[in-house]
Amino acid sequence: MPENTLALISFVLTLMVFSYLLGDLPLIRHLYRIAVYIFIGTSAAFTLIVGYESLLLPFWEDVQNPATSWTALGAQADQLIFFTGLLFAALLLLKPVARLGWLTNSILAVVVVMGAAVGVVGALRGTLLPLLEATARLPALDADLGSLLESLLVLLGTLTALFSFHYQATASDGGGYGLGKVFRTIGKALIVTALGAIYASTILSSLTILTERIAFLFQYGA
Amino acid sequence: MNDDYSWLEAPQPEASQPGAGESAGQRRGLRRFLPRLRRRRLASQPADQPDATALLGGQSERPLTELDQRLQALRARSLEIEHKEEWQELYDADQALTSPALQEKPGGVISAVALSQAQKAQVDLLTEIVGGQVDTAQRPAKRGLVRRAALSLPNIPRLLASALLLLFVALPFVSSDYAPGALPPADFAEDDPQALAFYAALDSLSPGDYVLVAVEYGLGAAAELDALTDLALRHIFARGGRAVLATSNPIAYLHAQNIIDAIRDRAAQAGLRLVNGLDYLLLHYLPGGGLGIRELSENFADIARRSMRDAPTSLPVGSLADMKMLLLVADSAEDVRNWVEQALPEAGTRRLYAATSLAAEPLTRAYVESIDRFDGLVVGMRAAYTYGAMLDATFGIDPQAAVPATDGAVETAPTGSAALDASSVIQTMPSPTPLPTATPRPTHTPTPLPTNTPVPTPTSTTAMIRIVEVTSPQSPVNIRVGPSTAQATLGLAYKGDTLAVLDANADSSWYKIAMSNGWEGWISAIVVTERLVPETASNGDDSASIARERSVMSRFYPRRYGNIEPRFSQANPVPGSTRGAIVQLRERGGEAQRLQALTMGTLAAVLAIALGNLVAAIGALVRRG
Repeated sequence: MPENTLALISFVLTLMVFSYLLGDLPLIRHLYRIAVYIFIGTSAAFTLIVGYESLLLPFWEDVQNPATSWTALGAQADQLIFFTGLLFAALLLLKPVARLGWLTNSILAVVVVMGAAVGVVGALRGTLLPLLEATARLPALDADLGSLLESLLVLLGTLTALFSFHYQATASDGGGYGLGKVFRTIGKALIVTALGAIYASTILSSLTILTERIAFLFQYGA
Repeated sequence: MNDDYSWLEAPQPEASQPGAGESAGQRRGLRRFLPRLRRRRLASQPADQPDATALLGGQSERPLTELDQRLQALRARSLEIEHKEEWQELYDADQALTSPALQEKPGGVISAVALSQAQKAQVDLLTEIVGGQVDTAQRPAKRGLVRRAALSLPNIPRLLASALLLLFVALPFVSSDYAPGALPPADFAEDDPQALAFYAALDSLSPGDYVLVAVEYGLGAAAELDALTDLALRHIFARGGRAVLATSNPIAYLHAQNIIDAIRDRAAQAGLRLVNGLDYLLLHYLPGGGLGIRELSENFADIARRSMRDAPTSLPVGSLADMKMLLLVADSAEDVRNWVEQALPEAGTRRLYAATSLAAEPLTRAYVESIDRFDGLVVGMRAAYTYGAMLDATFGIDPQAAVPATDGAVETAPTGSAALDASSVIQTMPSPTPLPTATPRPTHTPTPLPTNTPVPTPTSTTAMIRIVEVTSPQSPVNIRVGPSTAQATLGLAYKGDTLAVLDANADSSWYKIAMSNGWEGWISAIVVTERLVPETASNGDDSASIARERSVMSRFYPRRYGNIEPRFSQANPVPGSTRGAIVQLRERGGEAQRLQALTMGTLAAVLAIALGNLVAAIGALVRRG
């Protein structure tokens, strides 16, 4: 497709997205929605094509040809994996059938449990243990004052943030007085500050996208 | 208490008999069914078992002193309210919503309880839902009209805020007078050790080093991360490194492919060749998010045997630990977490470096500061600006001398010791024949390729090159690793396929041909016919080249490739210093205006938020007053 045509399509789609600024007006709101539907539809279609071309088709070719193997397990294992996956996929399609819904749920349970197991193991090895180690790491005795304060701040922040959580339904903020309440208050303040930083970063990301689109419009208009 | 609720107290069989008291026809709503249900319950209950309602009826009321203080206050307030006849309707739960108090008597019981405006609106809505008539005497306008008015008028505050934002963001593009703040520095500051570590890690690559580049961003973050991805890949290529790209996001794969194509095409115009499968490689899509990344980290050798387009790769690496480093480009903390948790533990001693969007920065920075092997981080568009300036400085390129890239333009030759030396680059190439991946445009004068192969030197757009066309009726035919049928099969070619000739053996019984994935294979002269074709017909014309490429690619399903000597180990790495010009060949222009627009946009956002809060505060004060 000619470059100018692509640029024109991009230009029109950008304006259609910007039409959202005009609010929920008749006709106008459809422009925004059409643009969003196009993006979602093309993304979904592209994902489907990539999955088919990159995964399913090569796997199917290998299953048909015993001389090749997708994995190191061998051709027979490939066939077993492929047809098991195919069976699972077919069972997922039974979701609309109420009586057979338990089959779909069983397959989904396998997927969810596997995902959860992998996630838990990964979180333990990749995040929790390293974070614990980093938090518990004491600064060297000859460290400068800045490093010492930073380490103490990290330790204090972690502990107070943990203190601020309570896992029982209470009418107040957890009750209690004294040092515990002070700790919880500090922890909440730290959490709110962190969430505020994340929110501000998200706004900046959105502004970056906006500047890119504005630059595109000026570039195309020039 | 209303008599209709007497069944909640001790059972009174005589009152529940048909004909006793109120007739069924006189009862309305749910009350018609209550005696019937109660009879059924009593009939199904053994006589020696007490009725639950009887048990409940025998219970005495809870002492007031046991009630919560708030409930006691509420009760006291309810006793203070004057009793009215209309209140009787409240005891008829099934009639409350359609009661005359709501339909016909403005200021009925609901009003007497002093509902707020919002509560009244909810009551009206509920009444509408059950078909009752809403008292509209006290309301300024009908709900439908209000709704229609809301649809027909734009949201004025939102429009104003948007107009303010758009105005501020657009100003730097209109005039350079509106350029607040300074541009990012030309060097990562000393107080940003993570950015410095990122740059130093990529700059320390040696020719032939492999870098796993995980590309994990979608459409929304492309404005921020395309530039960083582009720069990081150019940095890797400029140092002679090799990029192995992986992703669990198909859209990210699309972006990575486009960036790689752009780098490769621009490099080809300058006489530099980047070969798919040699200098870069896109692994197949990793489905399942974290699960896919986990699979890659544990079964890297299996996954790396095939590219995204199902071509065999023969990467001489067995695990993530064989990579020089891991580079992650991500737009969300979730992706960072997945790669840190699933891939990094499997990467041995290799280190992870990241380029992220601003939205993912806070959590990513926490990871970088806490995890030992997560060392470097660059963030957003400002980092891309500085990164580009550092690359220009490192590779001896004066940013002022760099010509903004335009389609088909010939770039200004770089200066300095690390400047582009096309002839030296070409001499180091393992196979100098132009592949379909390096497609000189017709408007660009091709660089003469010094070669010892019989390939005609393309001195003009009408130069002829050698190709072979598969003519054997016994299609498909084999492409082998060497010029012998005893050699392993590398792939297949079908009747009608055309392949560029690189060389031939001594008696010309076998042709050495170029495969689309950058491999070189041998095909028997018995099954093909050699001919000369104009270069423009095979390589110069983009559409024809791409069409042919696909037709060949789609049929290259290998039969067996596990025993093939990896081509990577045969090829000599390209010295990185000769590829420094790849850094220069990037698109430029507009970065400064975009950064200034970002600053202006931030100012506008802060201004809009402050104004909004001010207006809200004034409004609240006015209402209280």
